[in-house]
Amino acid sequence: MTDVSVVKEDAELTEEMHQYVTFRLNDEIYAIGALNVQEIIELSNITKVPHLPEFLKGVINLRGTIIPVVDLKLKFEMESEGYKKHTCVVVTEFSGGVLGLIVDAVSDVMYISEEKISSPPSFGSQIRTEFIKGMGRVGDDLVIILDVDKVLSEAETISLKEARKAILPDEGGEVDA
Amino acid sequence: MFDFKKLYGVFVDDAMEKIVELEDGLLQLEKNPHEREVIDTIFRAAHTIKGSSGTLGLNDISRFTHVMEEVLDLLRQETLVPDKELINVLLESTDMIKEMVESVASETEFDFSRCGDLMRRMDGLRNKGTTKEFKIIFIPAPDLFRRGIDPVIVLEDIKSVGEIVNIKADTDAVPRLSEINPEDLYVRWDIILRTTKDESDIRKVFEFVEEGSEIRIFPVQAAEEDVPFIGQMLVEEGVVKAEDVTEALKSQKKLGEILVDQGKATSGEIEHVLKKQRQKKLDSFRNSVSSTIRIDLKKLDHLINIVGEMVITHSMFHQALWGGANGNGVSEKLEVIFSQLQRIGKEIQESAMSLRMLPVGEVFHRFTRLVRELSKSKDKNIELIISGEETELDKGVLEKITDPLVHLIRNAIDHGIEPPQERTAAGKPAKGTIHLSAYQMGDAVYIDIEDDGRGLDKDKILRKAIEKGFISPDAEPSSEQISNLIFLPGFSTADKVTDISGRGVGMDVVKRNIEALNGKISIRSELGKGTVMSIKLPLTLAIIDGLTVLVGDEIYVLPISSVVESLRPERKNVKTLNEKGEVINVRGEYIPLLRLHELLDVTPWKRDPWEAIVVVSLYEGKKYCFMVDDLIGQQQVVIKSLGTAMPGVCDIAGGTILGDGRVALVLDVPGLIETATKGVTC
Repeated sequence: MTDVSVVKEDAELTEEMHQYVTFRLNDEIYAIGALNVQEIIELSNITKVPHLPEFLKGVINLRGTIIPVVDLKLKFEMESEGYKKHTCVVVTEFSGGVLGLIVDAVSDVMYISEEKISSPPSFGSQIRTEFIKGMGRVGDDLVIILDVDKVLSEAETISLKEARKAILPDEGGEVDA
Repeated sequence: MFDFKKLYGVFVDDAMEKIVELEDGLLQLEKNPHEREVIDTIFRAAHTIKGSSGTLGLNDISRFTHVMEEVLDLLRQETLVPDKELINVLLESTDMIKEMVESVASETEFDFSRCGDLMRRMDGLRNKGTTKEFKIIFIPAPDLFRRGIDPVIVLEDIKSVGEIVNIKADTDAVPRLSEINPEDLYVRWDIILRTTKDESDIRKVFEFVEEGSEIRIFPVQAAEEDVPFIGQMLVEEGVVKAEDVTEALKSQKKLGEILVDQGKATSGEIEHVLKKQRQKKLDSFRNSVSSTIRIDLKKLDHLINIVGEMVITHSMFHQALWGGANGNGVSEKLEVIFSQLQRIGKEIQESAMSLRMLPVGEVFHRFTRLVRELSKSKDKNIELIISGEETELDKGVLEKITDPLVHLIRNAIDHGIEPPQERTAAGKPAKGTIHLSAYQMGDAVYIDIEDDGRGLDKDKILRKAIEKGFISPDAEPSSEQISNLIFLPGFSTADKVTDISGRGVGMDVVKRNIEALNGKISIRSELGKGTVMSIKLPLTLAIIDGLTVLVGDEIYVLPISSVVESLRPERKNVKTLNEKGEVINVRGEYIPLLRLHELLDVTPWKRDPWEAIVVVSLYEGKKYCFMVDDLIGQQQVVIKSLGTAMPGVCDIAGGTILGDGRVALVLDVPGLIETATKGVTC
């Protein structure tokens, strides 16, 4: 990337610099804290799990461990043209466990200094602002920094609700989980 | 300052282990009060807890254990005898330490004042131990009066040292009246004194009268009671010293030595038998103290995971080499090496799985305590016999089986075993027995809880069941079916509800918990003779035998334990009944049909049952048919969780990784049936 140098000597790094993994969803660039990212893998066979909302695509085999995967574009209700060659899974770790995020392509790993991050705008993005931690300026581009914990815990609560709805269309969720 | 909190985790683990040792040891000691090694183990356990808690600044625990250690020390010196009261106090103290350690683990405050009572009781025991009894023989110098000393004052003085239990004036030495010198003292005294002081303190009392007098002081103790009457007499009469008698006793020969002398046995044979006897006494205790190292469970699970991964990669490798058109080019040599690698891989996997296995003894020994306490509170005399402690179970299974076992044992104590009077009246020994045994047979582990109590009253159960509407009055259930009625929710034959059991909750929970572990419970009972509850458990939770089936593009695994049979029904046998929906006639039996593709929301290849396959399952005594597209095969699968981030889905038990690296879901048959029949989800 441009003037905010991607690679800096460790000694020059100040405390306000955090490392981010950036990826594309359609034409927008998103970022999540590198500390939350465990690894990035190719999209493999997804096994569908019944009764779950559409964005919770199912489970995959991550070297012997089974992890759930979420299609971020479906989650953010963005247009999706299906999976392509560069589609990959960002394996993230958050307070609820390990979860794979399906993204169009991973672009970079970069440092963004804290002062270049501004609070989320109230409009302009395709996704709801509660998942956004801030907007980072990288040269001329804007990077939307996601709050992993919120995206994922939200994913879980919604899925649970929808799972119940799917099974019990007439009831208001009077079921013990 | 260094933060000790980082070390608390290690301390808690260690202390918990020592607490188990303490408890086991104390219970062991109750049975064999003179087992040196057991006392030493208990002492070491308490000492370790005291030491490590002190180092970490956990002063409450170390203060409390210190008191306990002092009591144990007296036990070690044989000043105290492990009677029931002492064992009780020590067991309660062990519980208290456990609570304190638990509060460290949960980082909550512990109210140390709660320990006060127990500490006082332990102190009481200690003092009881240190008060010794002395026998004092006081033969005053005959010229005492002439020296201006009144022996009565001396005797009064003795009271300042301790409590006089018994005092006797011996007037045998008083001569005939005509020969008496009124200024001489002829009387001697035998005194039994109870004191916390020792011999030299007592001797001080006699300081002024010592000259010319004879003062013999010797302790009267449990050990001294072994001195035979003749020996004691000789000592008292001053013929010989106490040490001489003990010495003489020591030179008495043991049975073995006499036999050797008489040439009836060789010393080697005697030594061998003695060794065996010692070994037998200690064996059961040693078994529970195995040489182990502690490993974080996470590390272990990680190892098992990567080993599983290796095995999967292996079969993928196998497929890549032999699958497809170019399979012919593989050389024979490569094939040999490959199969060798496969064998080693399987072995590694098996031994990795065995690392999670624990002997059931650890859990079983906790029940000794439970039985002891409960039978006391129920005024019943019950002995728990444990066998097969070395049988191993997966840690996960072991943890989950503990509660059901507690429940079954409570039931046996409360309902099974009769009060002593009733037992004697029925011609049984007053002491009831609960036999807890574990053994492995095939790929399952069995745990039996057998009591020799009153057994199940099948008529009563049947009456209650009809009364409560569980079964219809004209039903004629088999004996086994009647026994199984007690597993119904809300069923209890107990006439009164006790604090232990009788509320009718429990047996259904027990059954459900065991079934959740893919286990089974069965009852054999004979009225008046007793009941056997037999639990069958899979060796491990992680591996099950599964039937792999195809529905649409998805592969699912059905646990073999819930599959009865599979078949392709004939067209004429598939019927639709108004009240039941679709059913299949299987040899005259109408079984409801559940279409798996509907339940799991996938697009199937086949929509007609006569083209597809149905798998017959049994759940709560009823059969259900699951329709699938095809059967793939039967194989052992490793069940894995779908990840913590995954919301729970009630009809899915977990997932497994297939040979090609794909994930297949393992279905939960009870969950599927509940969802399908009741329209609710768990």
